[in-house]
Amino acid sequence: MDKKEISYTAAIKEIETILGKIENQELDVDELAGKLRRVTELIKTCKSKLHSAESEVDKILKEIGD
Amino acid sequence: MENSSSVSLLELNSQIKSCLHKGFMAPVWVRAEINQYNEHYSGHCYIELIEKGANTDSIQASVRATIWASAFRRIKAHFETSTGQCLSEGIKVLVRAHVDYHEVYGISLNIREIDPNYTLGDLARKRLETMRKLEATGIMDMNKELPFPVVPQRIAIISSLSAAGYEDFTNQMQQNKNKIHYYLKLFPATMQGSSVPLSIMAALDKVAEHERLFDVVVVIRGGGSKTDLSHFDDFDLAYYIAQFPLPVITGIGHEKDDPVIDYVAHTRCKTPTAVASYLLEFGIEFESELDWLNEKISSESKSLLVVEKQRLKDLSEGINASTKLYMEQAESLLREDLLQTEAATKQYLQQLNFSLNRLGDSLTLGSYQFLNRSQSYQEKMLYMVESAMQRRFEKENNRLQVLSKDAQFANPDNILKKGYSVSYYKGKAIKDPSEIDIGETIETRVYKGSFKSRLLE
Repeated sequence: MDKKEISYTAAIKEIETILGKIENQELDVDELAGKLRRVTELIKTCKSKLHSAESEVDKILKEIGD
Repeated sequence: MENSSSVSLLELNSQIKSCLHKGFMAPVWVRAEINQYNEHYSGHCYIELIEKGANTDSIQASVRATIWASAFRRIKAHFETSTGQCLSEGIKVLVRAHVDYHEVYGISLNIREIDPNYTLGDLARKRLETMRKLEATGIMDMNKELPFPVVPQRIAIISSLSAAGYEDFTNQMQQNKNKIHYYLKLFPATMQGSSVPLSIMAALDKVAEHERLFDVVVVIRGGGSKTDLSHFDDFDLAYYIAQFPLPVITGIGHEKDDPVIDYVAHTRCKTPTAVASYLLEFGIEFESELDWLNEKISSESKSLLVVEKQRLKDLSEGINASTKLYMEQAESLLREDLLQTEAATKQYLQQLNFSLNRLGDSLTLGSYQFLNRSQSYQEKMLYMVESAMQRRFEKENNRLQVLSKDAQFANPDNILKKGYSVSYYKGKAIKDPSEIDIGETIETRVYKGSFKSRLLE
Protein backbone atom coordinates (compact mmCIF):
# COMPACT_ATOMS: atom_id res chain seq x y z
CA MET A 1 0.00 0.00 0.00
CA ASP A 2 2.67 2.42 1.05
CA LYS A 3 4.54 2.10 -2.19
CA LYS A 4 1.53 2.77 -4.33
CA GLU A 5 0.24 5.63 -2.27
CA ILE A 6 3.60 7.29 -2.18
CA SER A 7 3.73 7.06 -5.93
CA TYR A 8 0.27 8.68 -6.37
CA THR A 9 1.21 11.32 -3.86
CA ALA A 10 4.72 11.68 -5.20
CA ALA A 11 3.42 11.92 -8.74
CA ILE A 12 1.03 14.73 -7.86
CA LYS A 13 3.71 16.48 -5.86
CA GLU A 14 6.21 16.26 -8.69
CA ILE A 15 3.69 17.48 -11.23
CA GLU A 16 2.71 20.37 -8.96
CA THR A 17 6.35 21.30 -8.50
CA ILE A 18 6.85 21.38 -12.25
CA LEU A 19 3.67 23.39 -12.69
CA GLY A 20 4.85 25.86 -10.06
CA LYS A 21 8.12 26.30 -11.88
CA ILE A 22 6.37 26.86 -15.18
CA GLU A 23 3.96 29.35 -13.62
CA ASN A 24 6.74 31.28 -11.95
CA GLN A 25 8.78 31.12 -15.12
CA GLU A 26 11.59 29.50 -13.21
CA LEU A 27 11.91 26.90 -15.88
CA ASP A 28 14.32 27.34 -18.69
CA VAL A 29 12.73 26.85 -22.07
CA ASP A 30 15.37 24.25 -22.78
CA GLU A 31 14.22 22.24 -19.75
CA LEU A 32 10.56 22.57 -20.64
CA ALA A 33 10.36 19.76 -23.15
CA GLY A 34 11.97 17.32 -20.74
CA LYS A 35 9.68 18.33 -17.87
CA LEU A 36 6.61 18.07 -20.06
CA ARG A 37 7.68 14.59 -21.05
CA ARG A 38 8.06 13.73 -17.38
CA VAL A 39 4.59 15.07 -16.58
CA THR A 40 3.05 13.08 -19.40
CA GLU A 41 4.82 9.99 -18.14
CA LEU A 42 3.65 10.52 -14.55
CA ILE A 43 0.06 11.12 -15.62
CA LYS A 44 0.16 8.08 -17.82
CA THR A 45 1.48 5.93 -14.98
CA CYS A 46 -1.18 7.20 -12.58
CA LYS A 47 -3.97 6.69 -15.09
CA SER A 48 -2.83 3.22 -15.90
CA LYS A 49 -2.74 2.43 -12.19
CA LEU A 50 -6.23 3.80 -11.81
CA HIS A 51 -7.79 1.97 -14.68
CA SER A 52 -6.05 -1.30 -15.22
CA ALA A 53 -6.07 -4.24 -12.89
CA GLU A 54 -2.78 -5.49 -11.60
CA SER A 55 -3.15 -9.21 -11.91
CA GLU A 56 -0.61 -9.69 -9.15
CA VAL A 57 -2.78 -7.84 -6.63
CA ASP A 58 -5.89 -9.68 -7.78
CA LYS A 59 -4.10 -12.97 -7.36
CA ILE A 60 -2.87 -12.22 -3.85
CA LEU A 61 -6.29 -10.99 -2.76
CA LYS A 62 -7.88 -14.11 -4.10
CA GLU A 63 -5.47 -16.28 -2.19
CA ILE A 64 -6.28 -14.65 1.15
CA GLY A 65 -8.54 -16.81 3.21
CA ASP A 66 -8.89 -19.42 0.47
CA MET B 1 -55.83 -43.17 42.68
CA GLU B 2 -58.69 -40.77 42.57
CA ASN B 3 -59.99 -38.77 45.54
CA SER B 4 -61.63 -35.47 46.11
CA SER B 5 -58.45 -33.81 47.25
CA SER B 6 -56.78 -34.25 43.92
CA VAL B 7 -57.41 -32.44 40.63
CA SER B 8 -56.56 -33.32 37.12
CA LEU B 9 -53.82 -31.30 35.41
CA LEU B 10 -56.36 -29.76 33.15
CA GLU B 11 -58.44 -28.81 36.17
CA LEU B 12 -55.33 -27.30 37.79
CA ASN B 13 -54.39 -25.41 34.71
CA SER B 14 -57.92 -24.22 34.29
CA GLN B 15 -57.90 -22.97 37.87
CA ILE B 16 -54.54 -21.24 37.26
CA LYS B 17 -55.93 -19.68 34.13
CA SER B 18 -58.99 -18.44 35.96
CA CYS B 19 -56.88 -17.02 38.84
CA LEU B 20 -54.50 -15.29 36.47
CA HIS B 21 -57.29 -13.76 34.49
CA LYS B 22 -58.88 -12.51 37.69
CA GLY B 23 -55.54 -11.20 38.97
CA PHE B 24 -54.48 -9.58 35.69
CA MET B 25 -57.73 -8.31 34.28
CA ALA B 26 -56.08 -5.27 32.78
CA PRO B 27 -52.93 -5.30 30.70
CA VAL B 28 -49.69 -4.50 32.54
CA TRP B 29 -46.63 -2.50 31.53
CA VAL B 30 -43.58 -4.73 31.78
CA ARG B 31 -39.91 -3.82 31.40
CA ALA B 32 -37.81 -6.63 29.98
CA GLU B 33 -35.11 -7.53 27.53
CA ILE B 34 -35.75 -9.47 24.40
CA ASN B 35 -33.72 -12.65 24.65
CA GLN B 36 -35.16 -14.55 21.75
CA TYR B 37 -37.06 -13.19 18.87
CA ASN B 38 -38.82 -15.06 16.11
CA GLU B 39 -41.12 -13.75 13.45
CA HIS B 40 -43.24 -16.70 12.37
CA TYR B 41 -44.30 -17.07 8.76
CA SER B 42 -47.88 -17.05 9.99
CA GLY B 43 -47.36 -13.41 10.86
CA HIS B 44 -47.24 -13.96 14.61
CA CYS B 45 -44.16 -13.04 16.58
CA TYR B 46 -42.73 -15.21 19.33
CA ILE B 47 -40.43 -13.66 21.83
CA GLU B 48 -38.62 -14.67 24.97
CA LEU B 49 -38.41 -11.86 27.49
CA ILE B 50 -35.89 -11.96 30.28
CA GLU B 51 -34.54 -9.85 33.05
CA LYS B 52 -30.88 -9.93 33.94
CA GLY B 53 -29.27 -9.09 37.23
CA ALA B 54 -28.19 -5.48 37.66
CA ASN B 55 -24.47 -6.16 37.27
CA THR B 56 -24.46 -9.68 35.98
CA ASP B 57 -25.56 -11.45 32.84
CA SER B 58 -27.41 -14.16 34.81
CA ILE B 59 -31.04 -14.44 33.93
CA GLN B 60 -33.24 -13.77 36.90
CA ALA B 61 -36.62 -13.94 35.25
CA SER B 62 -38.00 -15.15 31.96
CA VAL B 63 -41.31 -15.41 30.17
CA ARG B 64 -42.60 -16.24 26.74
CA ALA B 65 -44.44 -13.57 24.86
CA THR B 66 -46.37 -13.37 21.64
CA ILE B 67 -47.54 -10.64 19.37
CA TRP B 68 -50.37 -11.82 17.25
CA ALA B 69 -50.24 -11.11 13.59
CA SER B 70 -53.16 -8.69 13.79
CA ALA B 71 -51.18 -6.41 16.12
CA PHE B 72 -47.65 -7.24 15.11
CA ARG B 73 -47.55 -5.33 11.84
CA ARG B 74 -48.70 -2.12 13.52
CA ILE B 75 -46.44 -2.55 16.56
CA LYS B 76 -43.37 -3.37 14.54
CA ALA B 77 -43.82 -0.47 12.14
CA HIS B 78 -44.39 1.99 14.94
CA PHE B 79 -41.42 0.73 16.90
CA GLU B 80 -39.04 0.77 13.97
CA THR B 81 -39.99 4.16 12.67
CA SER B 82 -39.77 5.59 16.15
CA THR B 83 -36.48 4.02 17.19
CA GLY B 84 -34.87 3.60 13.80
CA GLN B 85 -34.11 0.06 14.59
CA CYS B 86 -35.62 -3.39 14.52
CA LEU B 87 -37.23 -5.36 17.20
CA SER B 88 -34.53 -7.85 17.93
CA GLU B 89 -32.65 -9.79 20.52
CA GLY B 90 -30.71 -7.87 23.11
CA ILE B 91 -32.81 -4.74 23.27
CA LYS B 92 -34.77 -3.61 26.23
CA VAL B 93 -38.43 -3.01 25.77
CA LEU B 94 -41.34 -1.68 27.67
CA VAL B 95 -44.39 -3.68 26.64
CA ARG B 96 -48.01 -3.49 27.47
CA ALA B 97 -49.27 -7.04 27.70
CA HIS B 98 -52.06 -9.26 28.82
CA VAL B 99 -50.99 -12.08 31.02
CA ASP B 100 -52.26 -15.12 29.20
CA TYR B 101 -52.43 -18.62 30.28
CA HIS B 102 -53.05 -21.64 28.13
CA GLU B 103 -53.65 -25.04 29.58
CA VAL B 104 -51.22 -26.66 27.15
CA TYR B 105 -48.65 -23.96 26.57
CA GLY B 106 -48.61 -22.33 29.95
CA ILE B 107 -48.11 -18.69 30.76
CA SER B 108 -47.24 -16.09 28.16
CA LEU B 109 -47.55 -12.38 27.64
CA ASN B 110 -49.71 -11.23 24.85
CA ILE B 111 -48.08 -8.01 23.80
CA ARG B 112 -50.44 -5.28 22.67
CA GLU B 113 -48.06 -2.36 22.58
CA ILE B 114 -44.37 -1.54 22.76
CA ASP B 115 -43.22 1.88 23.92
CA PRO B 116 -40.34 2.91 21.68
CA ASN B 117 -39.25 5.71 24.02
CA TYR B 118 -38.20 3.25 26.63
CA THR B 119 -35.97 1.40 24.20
CA LEU B 120 -34.63 4.66 22.86
CA GLY B 121 -33.84 5.84 26.31
CA ASP B 122 -32.18 2.61 27.21
CA LEU B 123 -30.12 2.55 24.05
CA ALA B 124 -29.19 6.16 24.51
CA ARG B 125 -28.15 5.54 28.06
CA LYS B 126 -26.12 2.53 27.06
CA ARG B 127 -24.55 4.42 24.19
CA LEU B 128 -23.79 7.31 26.43
CA GLU B 129 -22.10 5.01 28.88
CA THR B 130 -20.02 3.42 26.16
CA MET B 131 -19.10 6.77 24.70
CA ARG B 132 -17.96 8.10 28.05
CA LYS B 133 -15.90 5.01 28.59
CA LEU B 134 -14.32 5.37 25.16
CA GLU B 135 -13.61 9.02 25.66
CA ALA B 136 -11.89 8.16 28.88
CA THR B 137 -9.50 5.92 26.98
CA GLY B 138 -8.43 8.83 24.80
CA ILE B 139 -8.50 6.81 21.59
CA MET B 140 -11.67 8.20 20.02
CA ASP B 141 -9.81 10.03 17.26
CA MET B 142 -7.02 7.56 16.61
CA ASN B 143 -8.48 6.11 13.44
CA LYS B 144 -9.52 9.55 12.20
CA GLU B 145 -5.94 10.69 12.48
CA LEU B 146 -4.64 8.05 10.10
CA PRO B 147 -3.53 9.49 6.76
CA PHE B 148 -6.13 8.77 4.13
CA PRO B 149 -4.88 7.42 0.81
CA VAL B 150 -5.06 9.66 -2.25
CA VAL B 151 -7.08 7.00 -3.99
CA PRO B 152 -8.55 4.25 -1.77
CA GLN B 153 -8.29 1.59 -4.39
CA ARG B 154 -7.76 -1.62 -2.45
CA ILE B 155 -10.67 -2.12 -0.17
CA ALA B 156 -11.20 -4.71 2.54
CA ILE B 157 -14.91 -5.19 3.05
CA ILE B 158 -16.34 -6.40 6.31
CA SER B 159 -19.89 -7.49 5.71
CA SER B 160 -21.92 -10.56 5.12
CA LEU B 161 -22.32 -12.06 1.69
CA SER B 162 -26.03 -12.23 2.16
CA ALA B 163 -26.35 -8.60 3.05
CA ALA B 164 -28.12 -6.59 0.41
CA GLY B 165 -25.87 -3.66 1.16
CA TYR B 166 -22.79 -5.68 0.26
CA GLU B 167 -23.99 -6.30 -3.24
CA ASP B 168 -25.04 -2.70 -3.69
CA PHE B 169 -21.60 -1.65 -2.59
CA THR B 170 -19.62 -3.96 -4.84
CA ASN B 171 -21.81 -3.21 -7.85
CA GLN B 172 -21.41 0.48 -7.38
CA MET B 173 -17.66 0.20 -6.98
CA GLN B 174 -17.11 -2.10 -9.92
CA GLN B 175 -19.45 -0.34 -12.31
CA ASN B 176 -18.19 3.13 -11.60
CA LYS B 177 -18.57 5.54 -14.48
CA ASN B 178 -14.94 6.56 -14.42
CA LYS B 179 -13.87 2.97 -14.98
CA ILE B 180 -11.42 3.06 -12.13
CA HIS B 181 -10.30 -0.36 -11.10
CA TYR B 182 -10.97 -1.30 -7.48
CA TYR B 183 -9.63 -4.31 -5.68
CA LEU B 184 -12.37 -5.58 -3.40
CA LYS B 185 -11.95 -8.34 -0.85
CA LEU B 186 -14.71 -9.51 1.42
CA PHE B 187 -13.93 -10.57 4.95
CA PRO B 188 -17.21 -12.14 5.99
CA ALA B 189 -18.73 -11.31 9.36
CA THR B 190 -22.09 -11.66 11.03
CA MET B 191 -23.89 -8.38 10.82
CA GLN B 192 -26.89 -9.31 12.89
CA GLY B 193 -27.39 -10.37 16.47
CA SER B 194 -25.27 -10.43 19.51
CA SER B 195 -22.33 -12.09 17.78
CA VAL B 196 -21.77 -8.94 15.71
CA PRO B 197 -18.93 -7.48 17.79
CA LEU B 198 -16.86 -10.65 18.02
CA SER B 199 -17.46 -11.56 14.40
CA ILE B 200 -16.44 -8.15 13.14
CA MET B 201 -13.35 -8.13 15.33
CA ALA B 202 -12.32 -11.54 13.98
CA ALA B 203 -12.70 -10.24 10.42
CA LEU B 204 -10.70 -7.13 11.26
CA ASP B 205 -7.97 -9.38 12.65
CA LYS B 206 -7.71 -11.07 9.28
CA VAL B 207 -7.52 -7.74 7.49
CA ALA B 208 -4.79 -6.62 9.88
CA GLU B 209 -2.76 -9.67 8.91
CA HIS B 210 -2.70 -8.33 5.35
CA GLU B 211 -2.62 -4.68 6.25
CA ARG B 212 -0.16 -3.75 3.49
CA LEU B 213 -2.46 -5.08 0.81
CA PHE B 214 -5.22 -2.63 1.61
CA ASP B 215 -5.83 1.08 1.57
CA VAL B 216 -8.99 1.13 3.66
CA VAL B 217 -11.53 -1.08 5.44
CA VAL B 218 -15.25 -0.64 5.09
CA VAL B 219 -17.79 -2.04 7.53
CA ILE B 220 -21.11 -2.21 5.75
CA ARG B 221 -24.48 -3.61 6.45
CA GLY B 222 -27.45 -3.75 4.17
CA GLY B 223 -30.35 -1.43 4.17
CA GLY B 224 -33.12 -3.97 3.59
CA SER B 225 -33.80 -5.56 6.92
CA LYS B 226 -33.39 -3.34 9.90
CA THR B 227 -31.85 -5.34 12.62
CA ASP B 228 -30.70 -3.96 15.87
CA LEU B 229 -27.93 -1.47 15.97
CA SER B 230 -27.12 -1.88 19.60
CA HIS B 231 -24.34 -4.37 18.83
CA PHE B 232 -22.59 -1.65 16.91
CA ASP B 233 -22.54 0.31 20.13
CA ASP B 234 -20.33 -2.34 21.64
CA PHE B 235 -17.46 -0.92 23.61
CA ASP B 236 -14.92 -3.58 22.67
CA LEU B 237 -15.71 -3.29 18.98
CA ALA B 238 -15.45 0.48 19.10
CA TYR B 239 -12.21 0.23 21.04
CA TYR B 240 -10.78 -2.14 18.43
CA ILE B 241 -11.84 -0.06 15.44
CA ALA B 242 -10.43 3.14 16.93
CA GLN B 243 -7.00 1.57 17.07
CA PHE B 244 -7.14 -0.22 13.75
CA PRO B 245 -4.07 0.53 11.58
CA LEU B 246 -6.10 1.23 8.44
CA PRO B 247 -8.79 3.88 8.01
CA VAL B 248 -12.21 2.35 8.72
CA ILE B 249 -15.29 3.61 6.92
CA THR B 250 -18.69 2.61 8.23
CA GLY B 251 -21.95 2.22 6.42
CA ILE B 252 -24.18 0.51 8.92
CA GLY B 253 -27.50 1.76 7.65
CA HIS B 254 -29.46 3.55 10.29
CA GLU B 255 -31.88 6.36 10.64
CA LYS B 256 -31.80 7.70 14.16
CA ASP B 257 -28.82 7.65 16.45
CA ASP B 258 -25.46 6.82 15.03
CA PRO B 259 -23.96 3.61 16.33
CA VAL B 260 -20.94 4.11 18.56
CA ILE B 261 -18.50 2.66 16.05
CA ASP B 262 -19.42 5.53 13.74
CA TYR B 263 -17.82 7.88 16.22
CA VAL B 264 -14.50 6.09 16.26
CA ALA B 265 -14.37 5.24 12.56
CA HIS B 266 -12.28 7.36 10.20
CA THR B 267 -15.38 8.26 8.22
CA ARG B 268 -19.00 7.37 8.72
CA CYS B 269 -21.62 7.09 6.06
CA LYS B 270 -25.29 6.31 6.33
CA THR B 271 -25.41 3.37 3.98
CA PRO B 272 -23.13 1.08 1.95
CA THR B 273 -24.10 3.02 -1.17
CA ALA B 274 -23.01 6.21 0.54
CA VAL B 275 -19.69 4.55 1.41
CA ALA B 276 -19.21 3.61 -2.25
CA SER B 277 -20.00 7.14 -3.41
CA TYR B 278 -17.62 8.53 -0.83
CA LEU B 279 -14.79 6.23 -1.89
CA LEU B 280 -15.41 6.74 -5.60
CA GLU B 281 -15.12 10.47 -5.13
CA PHE B 282 -11.40 10.19 -4.39
CA GLY B 283 -10.60 8.41 -7.64
CA ILE B 284 -12.76 10.85 -9.61
CA GLU B 285 -11.16 13.79 -7.89
CA PHE B 286 -7.67 12.42 -8.36
CA GLU B 287 -8.23 11.80 -12.01
CA SER B 288 -9.74 15.20 -12.62
CA GLU B 289 -6.84 16.70 -10.72
CA LEU B 290 -4.50 14.86 -13.07
CA ASP B 291 -6.45 16.17 -16.04
CA TRP B 292 -6.53 19.64 -14.60
CA LEU B 293 -2.81 19.59 -13.94
CA ASN B 294 -2.23 18.29 -17.42
CA GLU B 295 -4.29 21.06 -18.97
CA LYS B 296 -2.87 23.68 -16.67
CA ILE B 297 0.66 22.61 -17.45
CA SER B 298 0.08 22.55 -21.16
CA SER B 299 -1.58 25.98 -21.11
CA GLU B 300 1.08 27.39 -18.81
CA SER B 301 3.76 25.94 -21.04
CA LYS B 302 2.11 27.52 -24.01
CA SER B 303 2.00 30.88 -22.34
CA LEU B 304 5.57 30.40 -21.20
CA LEU B 305 6.51 29.75 -24.80
CA VAL B 306 4.54 32.79 -25.89
CA VAL B 307 6.34 34.86 -23.29
CA GLU B 308 9.67 33.45 -24.41
CA LYS B 309 8.79 34.03 -28.01
CA GLN B 310 7.86 37.60 -27.24
CA ARG B 311 11.07 37.96 -25.31
CA LEU B 312 13.00 36.62 -28.27
CA LYS B 313 11.08 38.95 -30.52
CA ASP B 314 11.76 41.84 -28.21
CA LEU B 315 15.34 40.83 -28.03
CA SER B 316 15.67 40.53 -31.77
CA GLU B 317 13.87 43.80 -32.21
CA GLY B 318 16.14 45.24 -29.61
CA ILE B 319 19.04 43.79 -31.47
CA ASN B 320 17.71 45.19 -34.70
CA ALA B 321 17.18 48.55 -33.11
CA SER B 322 20.53 48.54 -31.47
CA THR B 323 22.08 47.21 -34.63
CA LYS B 324 20.45 50.01 -36.52
CA LEU B 325 21.59 52.48 -33.94
CA TYR B 326 25.02 50.98 -34.00
CA MET B 327 25.09 51.04 -37.74
CA GLU B 328 23.97 54.62 -37.74
CA GLN B 329 26.53 55.48 -35.20
CA ALA B 330 29.13 53.58 -37.10
CA GLU B 331 28.05 55.25 -40.28
CA SER B 332 28.18 58.69 -38.78
CA LEU B 333 31.49 57.82 -37.23
CA LEU B 334 32.67 56.65 -40.59
CA ARG B 335 31.34 59.76 -42.17
CA GLU B 336 33.09 61.82 -39.59
CA ASP B 337 36.18 59.78 -40.14
CA LEU B 338 35.85 60.25 -43.78
CA LEU B 339 35.39 63.94 -43.38
CA GLN B 340 38.28 64.06 -41.05
CA THR B 341 40.29 61.98 -43.39
CA GLU B 342 39.29 64.16 -46.24
CA ALA B 343 40.18 67.21 -44.29
CA ALA B 344 43.33 65.58 -43.12
CA THR B 345 44.12 64.49 -46.62
CA LYS B 346 43.40 67.91 -47.87
CA GLN B 347 45.48 69.35 -45.16
CA TYR B 348 48.11 66.80 -45.82
CA LEU B 349 47.96 67.50 -49.45
CA GLN B 350 48.14 71.14 -48.74
CA GLN B 351 50.98 70.51 -46.46
CA LEU B 352 52.49 68.27 -49.03
CA ASN B 353 51.87 70.82 -51.65
CA PHE B 354 53.28 73.46 -49.47
CA SER B 355 56.22 71.26 -48.73
CA LEU B 356 56.60 70.51 -52.33
CA ASN B 357 56.41 74.12 -53.15
CA ARG B 358 58.90 74.81 -50.51
CA LEU B 359 60.93 71.95 -51.72
CA GLY B 360 60.47 73.25 -55.21
CA ASP B 361 61.54 76.64 -54.10
CA SER B 362 64.45 75.30 -52.26
CA LEU B 363 65.19 73.06 -55.20
CA THR B 364 65.14 76.02 -57.53
CA LEU B 365 67.25 77.92 -55.20
CA GLY B 366 69.46 74.91 -54.78
CA SER B 367 69.61 74.43 -58.49
CA TYR B 368 70.56 77.96 -58.91
CA GLN B 369 73.11 77.61 -56.32
CA PHE B 370 74.11 74.34 -57.82
CA LEU B 371 74.17 75.79 -61.21
CA ASN B 372 76.00 78.75 -59.98
CA ARG B 373 78.38 76.56 -58.30
CA SER B 374 78.83 74.33 -61.34
CA GLN B 375 79.25 77.34 -63.60
CA SER B 376 82.03 78.70 -61.56
CA TYR B 377 83.46 75.26 -61.41
CA GLN B 378 83.26 74.97 -65.15
CA GLU B 379 84.84 78.31 -65.55
CA LYS B 380 87.52 77.35 -63.21
CA MET B 381 87.98 74.10 -65.01
CA LEU B 382 88.01 75.88 -68.32
CA TYR B 383 90.54 78.26 -67.08
CA MET B 384 92.57 75.46 -65.74
CA VAL B 385 92.26 73.56 -69.03
CA GLU B 386 93.01 76.64 -70.95
CA SER B 387 96.01 77.48 -68.96
CA ALA B 388 97.17 73.87 -69.05
CA MET B 389 96.64 73.81 -72.75
CA GLN B 390 98.42 77.09 -73.06
CA ARG B 391 101.36 75.77 -71.20
CA ARG B 392 101.32 72.59 -73.24
CA PHE B 393 101.00 74.60 -76.35
CA GLU B 394 103.95 76.73 -75.46
CA LYS B 395 105.90 73.69 -74.58
CA GLU B 396 105.01 71.95 -77.79
CA ASN B 397 105.74 75.12 -79.66
CA ASN B 398 109.18 75.27 -78.16
CA ARG B 399 109.76 71.72 -79.02
CA LEU B 400 108.48 72.31 -82.50
CA GLN B 401 110.95 75.16 -82.90
CA VAL B 402 113.70 72.86 -81.76
CA LEU B 403 112.43 70.13 -83.96
CA SER B 404 112.10 72.38 -86.95
CA LYS B 405 115.73 73.34 -86.52
CA ASP B 406 116.57 69.66 -86.46
CA ALA B 407 114.25 69.06 -89.35
CA GLN B 408 116.04 71.76 -91.29
CA PHE B 409 119.08 69.72 -90.85
CA ALA B 410 117.35 66.45 -91.70
CA ASN B 411 115.44 67.73 -94.74
CA PRO B 412 116.45 65.60 -97.79
CA ASP B 413 116.53 68.75 -99.89
CA ASN B 414 119.21 70.07 -97.64
CA ILE B 415 121.08 66.85 -98.02
CA LEU B 416 120.31 66.71 -101.73
CA LYS B 417 121.66 70.17 -101.97
CA LYS B 418 124.87 68.83 -100.75
CA GLY B 419 124.81 66.48 -103.63
CA TYR B 420 123.31 63.42 -102.12
CA SER B 421 120.63 61.58 -104.02
CA VAL B 422 117.99 59.09 -103.22
CA SER B 423 116.98 56.25 -105.49
CA TYR B 424 113.56 54.71 -105.33
CA TYR B 425 112.49 51.42 -106.56
CA LYS B 426 108.87 50.92 -106.77
CA GLY B 427 108.39 54.02 -104.57
CA LYS B 428 110.72 52.95 -101.90
CA ALA B 429 114.09 54.32 -101.11
CA ILE B 430 116.61 51.80 -102.03
CA LYS B 431 118.87 50.84 -99.26
CA ASP B 432 120.11 47.51 -100.63
CA PRO B 433 120.82 47.16 -104.37
CA SER B 434 120.32 43.36 -104.16
CA GLU B 435 116.66 43.99 -103.82
CA ILE B 436 116.54 45.17 -107.36
CA ASP B 437 116.52 42.84 -110.29
CA ILE B 438 118.84 43.69 -113.18
CA GLY B 439 117.17 45.53 -115.97
CA GLU B 440 114.65 47.12 -113.71
CA THR B 441 113.99 50.83 -113.68
CA ILE B 442 114.75 52.97 -110.70
CA GLU B 443 114.07 56.61 -110.04
CA THR B 444 116.67 58.77 -108.56
CA ARG B 445 115.99 61.96 -106.97
CA VAL B 446 118.44 64.76 -106.71
CA TYR B 447 118.27 68.24 -105.40
CA LYS B 448 117.07 69.71 -108.65
CA GLY B 449 114.82 66.97 -109.95
CA SER B 450 114.88 63.36 -110.68
CA PHE B 451 115.73 60.84 -113.31
CA LYS B 452 115.20 57.32 -114.27
CA SER B 453 117.74 54.74 -114.85
CA ARG B 454 118.01 51.03 -115.64
CA LEU B 455 120.07 48.80 -113.58
CA LEU B 456 122.82 47.28 -115.50
CA GLU B 457 124.69 45.59 -112.90
